[in-house]
Amino acid sequence: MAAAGASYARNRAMMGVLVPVLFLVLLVVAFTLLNDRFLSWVNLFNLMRQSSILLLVATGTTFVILMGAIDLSIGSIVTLVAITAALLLRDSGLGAAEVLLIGAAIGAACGLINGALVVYARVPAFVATLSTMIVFGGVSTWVAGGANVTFRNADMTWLASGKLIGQIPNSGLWALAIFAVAAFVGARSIFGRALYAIGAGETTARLSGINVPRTQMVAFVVSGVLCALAGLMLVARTSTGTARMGDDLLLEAIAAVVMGGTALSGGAGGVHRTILGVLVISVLKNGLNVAGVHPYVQICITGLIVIIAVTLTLDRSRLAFVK
Amino acid sequence: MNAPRKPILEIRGAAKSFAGVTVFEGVDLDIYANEIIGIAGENGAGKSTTLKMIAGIHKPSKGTMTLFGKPYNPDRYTDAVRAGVSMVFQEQALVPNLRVYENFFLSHESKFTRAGGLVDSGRMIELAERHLRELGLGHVDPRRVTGSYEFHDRQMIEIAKAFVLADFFKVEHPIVLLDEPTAAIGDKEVALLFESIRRFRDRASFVLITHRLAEYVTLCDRLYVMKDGRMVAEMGKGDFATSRIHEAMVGRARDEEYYKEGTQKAVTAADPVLLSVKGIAGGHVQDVSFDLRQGEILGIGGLVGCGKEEVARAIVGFEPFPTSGTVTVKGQQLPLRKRGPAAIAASVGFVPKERKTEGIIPYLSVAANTSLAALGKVTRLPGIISAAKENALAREFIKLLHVRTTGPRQLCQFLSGGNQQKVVMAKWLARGVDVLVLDNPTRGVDVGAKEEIYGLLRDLTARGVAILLITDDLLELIGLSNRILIMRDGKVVTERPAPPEAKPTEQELVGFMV
Repeated sequence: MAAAGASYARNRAMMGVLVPVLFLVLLVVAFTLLNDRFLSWVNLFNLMRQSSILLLVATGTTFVILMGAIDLSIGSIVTLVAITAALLLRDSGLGAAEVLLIGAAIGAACGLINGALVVYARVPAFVATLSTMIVFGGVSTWVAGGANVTFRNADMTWLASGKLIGQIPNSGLWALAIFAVAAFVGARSIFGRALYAIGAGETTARLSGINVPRTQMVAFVVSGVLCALAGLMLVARTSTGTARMGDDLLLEAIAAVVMGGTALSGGAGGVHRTILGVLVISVLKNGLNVAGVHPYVQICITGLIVIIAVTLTLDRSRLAFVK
Repeated sequence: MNAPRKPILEIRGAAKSFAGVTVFEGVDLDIYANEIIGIAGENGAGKSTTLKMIAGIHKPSKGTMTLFGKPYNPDRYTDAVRAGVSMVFQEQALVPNLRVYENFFLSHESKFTRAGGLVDSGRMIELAERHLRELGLGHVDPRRVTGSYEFHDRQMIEIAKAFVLADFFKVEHPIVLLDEPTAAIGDKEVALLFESIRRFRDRASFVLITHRLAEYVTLCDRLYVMKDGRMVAEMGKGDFATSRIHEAMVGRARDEEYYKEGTQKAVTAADPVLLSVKGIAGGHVQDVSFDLRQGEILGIGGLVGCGKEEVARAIVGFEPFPTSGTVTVKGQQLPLRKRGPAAIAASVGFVPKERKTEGIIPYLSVAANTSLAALGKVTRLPGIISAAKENALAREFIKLLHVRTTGPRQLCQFLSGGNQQKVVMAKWLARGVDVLVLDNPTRGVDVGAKEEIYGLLRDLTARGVAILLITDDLLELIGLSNRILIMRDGKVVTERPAPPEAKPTEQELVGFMV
């Protein structure tokens, strides 16, 4: 029985990687057949630029999901940081570097608030971050007065759309670099191990001397900071802060994490796997665009395919534990 | 007495096993009308499972049951209720935020529908009121929210529910099963409960399970005694006294070899005290104090609920725990706040009772579980785990403790209970401990692995580790311990030395437990 169980676990892990990879190949083949420009270098760099923001958000939220919690405020943090950055760049005369720091600090503060609510006020993460999602969203609309905030800043534009190496867009470069560090931390560090331990067995982790509150706080702060960086990239690319500009990222990021094979119940999966889910969603959106599908129909198709992909990849053996 | 009566419930040759493990077998049991019977036995003797079989919660693997002369094969608890068998659960099964009458008829509402599919609550209330009055519980208002009544009244409501439903399903003489009804109530409530049960006896039969043997003597007309899944005695009212009951409950031969009694380390007053506990109190635990010396195994025994587990929790800081009193490890007093991390820092290891949720993390590998309390020892760069070092650590302990696994990367969930328990031990040994607190370390562990664990504990004491052993298994308590404390109702009632040549008997200790 032990041997059968082990091979089952191995198969499960294989499936977890194989299904999204196959899905990705299928999408690429289908879109290439529909439009041969899909596999052009121009479009691939475009894809990289588009996926960089989702990659940052999804990477951050994987930390939270790994420990069995959830952060529903990620989209709102992106919006809040993006709009605040746009306002500062338009009105305050601060440079890009200062705005980057302030933006990251706002993200960290949002993460601290989420973490404090979950860890110290003991509000379930779902409820806590659902509430902060509304609050952060409200604050961003309020500070912008409900209007779009457009600015001009050459440094910011370079940050997102400049090309440091060859034709690779900078936003893609930063996102990949941060992802690489995060994946390493998730898989190899004591902090990463603590996340798995808390997600898979919080009581055991606590009784074994893992500092559960601190780990939880750090995870929420990491999620907040990566969302802030995503918000800065987003606003740097468009030079305009708009209300609700980050909202779609919430579902897309959670879908990407699940498709990558991280269990919503926590304790299984990994940061390194999230990139697979991000690629599936980004290729899908980009491909539908290139294929000339009507934008409204695109939204429907994206939603449907996310459902199908999640249905195929979700590990049901652990669903009973979903918090 | 009466002419030869026929039992209303007859059980013949019943057996029950879960996943191949036999809980009880060859159980014969009769219940007559207007009778209060008891089923006594140690933890794990099979009495609770027997009760649940009668209540339709567990299906017997073998054997027959006959109720009121007809075959009785309930598939679920509702079937039992319809046939006239009700159970008063240890943790009360009433929904506190529903009204009393709603609780009475919970899941039977379909019998009270009127035009349009609405529930006819008027009829429910009327019926509830009549029954409560007949049972002498006129002070209970069926319209009130159940949770607003005291524990004792809620217990009465649960018993009343049995009568209401029996009447409703046209059963003249219900059977009420009481699973430790006195576990959570005080003496006054116990007296009230027993008085009511005696009063209801002319209308029903009762089956009682309790941890307090004296209650069988006060209440029961007849008593069955179970031991290791078998009925070992049946006693009539005249012949039971508590001493005779526990003689029947225990009395097994202890294999000295099995508990490695020959290697028990002699501990004297010259050996340093590693753990000192003074005046632990809180909850229902009162003033527990003891010293534990290097190389010693100190055992704490007592019935479930006597407070021994709370003592362990207080030492290792597993919240919630009794907060009064002090815990001192190697001369350092542990703080009240963050006691858990402080205990670990003071080299105290804890093997908890619930292995799968407190001891190991089933979804993590053997290696990850082994290194969980010693992550600092398997790093290469600060904060970064080295897979090679971690695997090497796991391999070392797999070999040392004979953990049967495919390798360090196998998930712990695929290990047997005994091997999982070895991983819990490995976790603490990998960190290095001076004091090890064990709560039922061999619960659900097979015989072979048990013996290996006992051998390991002896090796640890030989290396100077002090062990506090809390266990429900009497033979284990006697066989392993250098010294034994028995707790009852939150207090230490006796302390017995247990050197290899003069181990106390089970009977001696049980006398203090009940």
